[in-house]
Amino acid sequence: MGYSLTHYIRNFPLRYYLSGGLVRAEEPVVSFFLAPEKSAALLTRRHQVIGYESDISNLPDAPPIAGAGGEGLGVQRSFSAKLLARWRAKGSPRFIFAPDLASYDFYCNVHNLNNLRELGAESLLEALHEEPRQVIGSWDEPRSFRWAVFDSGVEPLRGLFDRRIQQVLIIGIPADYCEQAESWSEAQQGSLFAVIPVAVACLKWFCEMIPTGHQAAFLLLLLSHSVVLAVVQNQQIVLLRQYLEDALLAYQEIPPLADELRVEAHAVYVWSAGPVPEELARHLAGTELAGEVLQQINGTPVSIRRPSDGSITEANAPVPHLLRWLEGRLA
Amino acid sequence: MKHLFVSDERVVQQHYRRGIIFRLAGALILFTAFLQVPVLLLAGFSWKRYHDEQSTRNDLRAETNNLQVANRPLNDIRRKLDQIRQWEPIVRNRLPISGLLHAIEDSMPASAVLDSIAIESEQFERVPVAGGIFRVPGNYRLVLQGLERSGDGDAAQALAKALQKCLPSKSELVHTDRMENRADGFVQFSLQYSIKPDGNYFGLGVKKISEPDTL
Repeated sequence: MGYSLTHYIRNFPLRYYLSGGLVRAEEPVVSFFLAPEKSAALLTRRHQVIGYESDISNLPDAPPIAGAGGEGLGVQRSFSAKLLARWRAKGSPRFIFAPDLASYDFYCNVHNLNNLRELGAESLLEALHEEPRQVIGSWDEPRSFRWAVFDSGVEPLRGLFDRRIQQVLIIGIPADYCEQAESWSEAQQGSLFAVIPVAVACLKWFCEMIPTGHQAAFLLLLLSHSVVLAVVQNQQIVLLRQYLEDALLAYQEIPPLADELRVEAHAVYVWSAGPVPEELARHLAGTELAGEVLQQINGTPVSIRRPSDGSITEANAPVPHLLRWLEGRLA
Repeated sequence: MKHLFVSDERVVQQHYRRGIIFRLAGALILFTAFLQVPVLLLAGFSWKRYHDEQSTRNDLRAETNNLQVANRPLNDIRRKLDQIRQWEPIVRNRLPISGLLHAIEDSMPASAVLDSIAIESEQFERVPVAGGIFRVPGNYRLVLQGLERSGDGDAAQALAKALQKCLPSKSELVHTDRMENRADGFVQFSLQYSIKPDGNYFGLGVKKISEPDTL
């Protein structure tokens, strides 16, 4: 990264410093779950959840959603200023974006290292940046994407690939959406922590929090536009598929896939931001990652302590659980 | 996953905001800048004062130039005035004899007659003027000799009293002489004055010319 004294002086954050940022130790973190139908925001300070808004998509100056045109309404107070005032928080907020992206806005796949020419993460990212077709043969997207490379445990990779690594996870999202998120954060007088697609966040959470052991775990992520099916073994993603069809069809793919992978015993997990479709719920022979199950996995429900009166409310829905875990993981 | 899909530029700017090293550097820069405020204010005021003084100096210089330009035609007049001023002691110390005679005539009482009037100038001073050196008297001596009828009062004293009022202020009666009665009933008297010319001869009847004649 380009650190230099000249660059620092040129980008001197005078306004931020003078507004108290110079001595401020803790600043609020706002984590957004951004889906076309329903968006939510979780506000935390010192790792304490102090507010949760279950539907923010219709509010003026709301954070951008991929694929939805920004209305650009002229508002007197910014969205985050109102949010912070509502939950009696102060300071310059830091944002975590967890967008639920459409299949054409989100590339995520496991690649075998044997099929890649590049020997390191940086060279792979460079190749993807120059021309994604060098790495992904079927790539036909004209838009510019930002790329990230992870190992099978969804840990970022740096330097030359370890010989023990057999697969890498390549993730890409449109660059214009990232720029949109950055500009919005800047306009809110805050800073952007990360843009983590919901599917990536869920996969990482699953690999970290659910001890699958040698047993194969089939994780079905029911997203707004698609269904992601991941096979996780030893906390490593071994297979990833994305379905545009309905969830039941993806679920029905699991038994043949298990045979194909020669898995003797397996468990099925389903994560969905909303309620699981009734048809799938009827046939589901697995665990729905919601409510009590999430509470058991994460240890506690999401406790929201209102700063005004100190009262505590609890939430056990998948979205607040995911956002709280993200905040704890990143901030 | 920290800073995932966030551009390097934004990440650097975030570090500038929150990084402890950058905060310390920022605090140092702000503190140093704060310390410069009095110096900058002083420099600003000094600069402003210097500009004001410069402006005043320029104005004065321009005014001096204007005055010099305006003064140039006056030099000739000034030279002529100087020449005229050289004549001042000459003009001031000139006693208007006609005025003096007129004053003596007016002061003469009816019971006395004058035998002689002697006017002498003395205490000469050399005054150089353009064209030569003038000898200017610093004092005039006036000697009046006459006769008065005895028994008609002191006519000589009346004459001296009346004449004193007409003469210039520093003039004085220096000598008075009175003879014995003659057989024809007249008494001879003599008065001697020292007249200091002072330029003010209105008492002698000289009148101010309100509108000088155009020759």
